[in-house]
Amino acid sequence: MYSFASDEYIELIVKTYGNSMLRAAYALLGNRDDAEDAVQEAFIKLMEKKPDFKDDEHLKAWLLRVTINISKNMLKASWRKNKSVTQEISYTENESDEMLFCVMKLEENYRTVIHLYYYEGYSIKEIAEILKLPSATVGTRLNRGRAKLRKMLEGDVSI
Amino acid sequence: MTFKELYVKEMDEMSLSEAFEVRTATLMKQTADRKDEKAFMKRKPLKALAVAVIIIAFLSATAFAFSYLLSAKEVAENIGGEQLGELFGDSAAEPQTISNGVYDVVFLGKASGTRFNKTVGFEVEESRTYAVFAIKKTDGTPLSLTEGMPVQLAPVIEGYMPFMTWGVLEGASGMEKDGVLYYLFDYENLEIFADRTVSVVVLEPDMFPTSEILTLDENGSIIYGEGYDGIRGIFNLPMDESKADPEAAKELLGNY
Repeated sequence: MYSFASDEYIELIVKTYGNSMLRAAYALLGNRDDAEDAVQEAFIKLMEKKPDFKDDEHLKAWLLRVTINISKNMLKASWRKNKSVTQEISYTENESDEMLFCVMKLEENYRTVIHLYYYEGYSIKEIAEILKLPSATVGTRLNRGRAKLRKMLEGDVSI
Repeated sequence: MTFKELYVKEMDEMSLSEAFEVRTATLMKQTADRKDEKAFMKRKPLKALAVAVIIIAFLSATAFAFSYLLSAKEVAENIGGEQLGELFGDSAAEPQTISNGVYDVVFLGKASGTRFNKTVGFEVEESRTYAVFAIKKTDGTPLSLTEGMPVQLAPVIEGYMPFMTWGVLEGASGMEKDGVLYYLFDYENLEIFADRTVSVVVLEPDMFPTSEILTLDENGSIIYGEGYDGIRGIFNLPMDESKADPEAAKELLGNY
């Protein structure tokens, strides 16, 4: 068992959760540089706050929630500066990433829920806990997000 | 391949570089060390007078910070920009507060209008209702946005079981200032229900409003279930009755 601020512990959590956090941030921000900033800020918050976690799943959920909240704030900051999010977003690193492209075209509220459901494999109840939203709201967003994706994909891929 | 398989495959191609991981780990270590240093400094004994001065200064600062809350317009501007702020106008409504002795929940204002476009790649114009709330600790301890909402604020409509109206909430965006959390809630257009009492109820976080938690009395008013023992409070939203549209309301709730 490593102590909280030991080099080993820090390296372990960056390696274990960093990529999940990066992908969650990217699903919202659509920009790798910004997503990396969000991940870094979330890890620093972890060190500042030193929360108590029940288990590894609790730690992961906390890190994802904080990363998502930071990413949302970054999006808000870009609206405040009257920047067009569309211009800022590079959509995907790779132009052939069709599913990513479609998810990026969804509204912010749907992107996070779709990502946590399809990529992380969380249930509606678990997503509701992470996002601090009622389960029914998560369910509604998931259904609406799926419907929009279906429309975009025009039946080429089953959802 | 299914959407899930393709999406996971595409997402998996993105990962942190080793250089980034090292940079991040270094920053984390520095943050942890700074925090430990501060904690050590705090443990050093101080003369009684110095302690008293510091305590008085802290209490005054806390009282000052919490005596002023942002207005609904300021919150909306901060979160959604000038256009959204304008929806709330300049009228400074008297904030309403509900407290359970741990948290104070303050209703700052409500506005309806065209949806602010937050969509990437699409132009969306939908009629929306927005409400702004502040949440703070009664004892003045600062709250942090990263910890999530400490209470839940759910839209309810007279005559409809609360679990039916849950889905009219489209989203909540938050900000933090001086230890106070501010939330802008984005609802489907609630004005269509203006011939009824439209409210926002306060609940413990992560609770689904089953009929044991929230229900209707014989007049159709929203009441808490007898077995519910968490934070309570109901804010009635000011509505313009002339905008009621019972047909549209029926159609909307048919979607949930």
